[in-house]
Amino acid sequence: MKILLMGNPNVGKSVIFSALTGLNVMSANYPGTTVALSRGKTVIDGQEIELIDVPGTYGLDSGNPAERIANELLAKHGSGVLLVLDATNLERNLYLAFQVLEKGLPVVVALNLMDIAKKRGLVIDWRGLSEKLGVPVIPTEAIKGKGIAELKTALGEQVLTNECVSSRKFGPVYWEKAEEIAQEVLRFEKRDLTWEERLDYWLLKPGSGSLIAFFVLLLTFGIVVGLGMGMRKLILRPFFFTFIEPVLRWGVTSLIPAGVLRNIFIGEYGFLIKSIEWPLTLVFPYVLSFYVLLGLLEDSGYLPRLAILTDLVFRRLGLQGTNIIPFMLGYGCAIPAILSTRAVGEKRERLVVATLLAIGVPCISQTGAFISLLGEHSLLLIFALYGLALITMYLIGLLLKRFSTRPEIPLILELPPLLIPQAKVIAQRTWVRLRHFAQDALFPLTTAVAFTAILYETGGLAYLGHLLEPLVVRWLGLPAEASVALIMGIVRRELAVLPLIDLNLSLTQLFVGSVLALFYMPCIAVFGVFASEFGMGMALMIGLVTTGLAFLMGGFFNHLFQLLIWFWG
Amino acid sequence: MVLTEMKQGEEGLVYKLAGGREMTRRLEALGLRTGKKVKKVSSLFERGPVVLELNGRLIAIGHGQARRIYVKMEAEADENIIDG
Repeated sequence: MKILLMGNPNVGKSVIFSALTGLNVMSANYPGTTVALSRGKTVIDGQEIELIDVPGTYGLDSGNPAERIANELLAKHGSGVLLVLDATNLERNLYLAFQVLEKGLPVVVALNLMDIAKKRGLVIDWRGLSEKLGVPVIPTEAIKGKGIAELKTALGEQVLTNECVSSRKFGPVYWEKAEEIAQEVLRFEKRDLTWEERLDYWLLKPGSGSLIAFFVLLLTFGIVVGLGMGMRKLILRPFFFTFIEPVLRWGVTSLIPAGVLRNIFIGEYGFLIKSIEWPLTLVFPYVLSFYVLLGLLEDSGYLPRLAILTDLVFRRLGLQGTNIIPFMLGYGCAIPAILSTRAVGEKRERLVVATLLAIGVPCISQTGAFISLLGEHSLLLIFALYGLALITMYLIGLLLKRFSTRPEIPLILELPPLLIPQAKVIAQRTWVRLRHFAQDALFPLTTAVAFTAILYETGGLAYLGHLLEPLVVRWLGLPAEASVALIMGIVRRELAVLPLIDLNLSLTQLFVGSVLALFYMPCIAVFGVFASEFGMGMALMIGLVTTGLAFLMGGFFNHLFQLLIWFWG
Repeated sequence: MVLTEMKQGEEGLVYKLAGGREMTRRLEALGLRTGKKVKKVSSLFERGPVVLELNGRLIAIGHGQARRIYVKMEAEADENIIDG
């Protein structure tokens, strides 16, 4: 038994989905497309039901990939539909509802976001709506769990028994009918503007909006860094060095005699120590603080507002403002960021965004490493570094635009209402993202550190350093040991930074090393995503461009600083 | 008058969508059709997106598209009646 969960984008479909299915969700791409489908199981009246979260669509008749999939699922797989409608936007939602109802499957309607509708002075006669549609309508506030039980009951009584098939016709002019029914069941009540709406007007004015955006981003950065540093210094570092490290050292010392083997475990690059210390104390705190903050920005509905404020900047690059979202995600991890550009749909735009991401957006793991490396000296260094990256991305964006002329991409975007984020939702999403981080990061990181430890203790690293000396020492002005960062940096971005911490670098060297690491190639996993999304040729190209740029910029700053020192020295 | 010429806070009735088919389709899917009443909430800088209120929802439209959406202001409509 399969039930399709359908609705417009952003109507709380996924909230209802997780409320019904709990955490046993599987996500997979629909065959032959890049559109992801989630499936989950729920039990209703003792019968196991598979719930399929169909991609959000506004209709079924315009033939974009999401709608094609929706149509195909309706025709082949569905034995019933749970249709989620947005109570604050009934007219537009009815447009889809009619087309779904006319497919002749049993349908139960969840009229969601009732709380927000009420706040906005909308009174909806949902019983009347149910009568007009010919199927049961259940009012819900999914985010608070209200109406979910009733939904289950309705699904059990109606869908399982095939009772709720609408026999009405709504077409052929669906939107006219939608307007008519919406007018009949909707009533506006006079009311004051809510404070969210007042705030929204300030966010959407160019002057105050830009100012607020600036402070929001600054505050976000500040909190990510502050919270991360706090966790690191007050909790994780003391915890690691009082409890974990001594135990590991004691264990290895008593088991393995002094020598190369012992050093591989607990020596200079002792991988048993570093592969726990680095991710746990230097990277994890920032990953956690970043994802909490990103979740807050996502859930509050602020990101689309940021998108229209930044539209002008992006438009200069031939892109649209909504691309701010992949960029924000990219400061977490480039993989979900590149995947999120699928929503943009247009290949050229996706490729440009992904390229810029690979060049100048460090992931949160690397940011954590930068903070550990540079933050001890001055946070200004980090600002300078990230500013440099932004300018570089902008210039490269302009360059890329020159190579491709095409008509303007239209921006038509609905702004979801501003909401106070729910702690539970943020916690859940952060948890999922942390789990991804652990899965994706720990194995490559441990392997890379182990490999380096062996190389270091067997003299291989010294040889490699010697080999790269002209590049690393003469061109970049870094000590020969820094070449280890270049090797490890291929595997994970933060590993291009972390080895520099123990090298006692000068201020100039710190900056040059950081510039090198920032522009250096994305990690191996991102490389893989690049290859699968845009082809192997493109992926190789990105690897070459980023590495070339990293050495060019690193060498440039090294020589610039040398010159300045010579001039003033 | 087109959307970009409206002032902040002004209301009007949409009477023509002069964009391409794709643009018209996307606007109509959001409920922006001829005959609809819209209120301009703001425009972001000289050539930035325009934000509209439609049926109590906010919609942002790029400058290039907003230029091709024609509206009749309430006052304008009254004048026409007097003239006629």
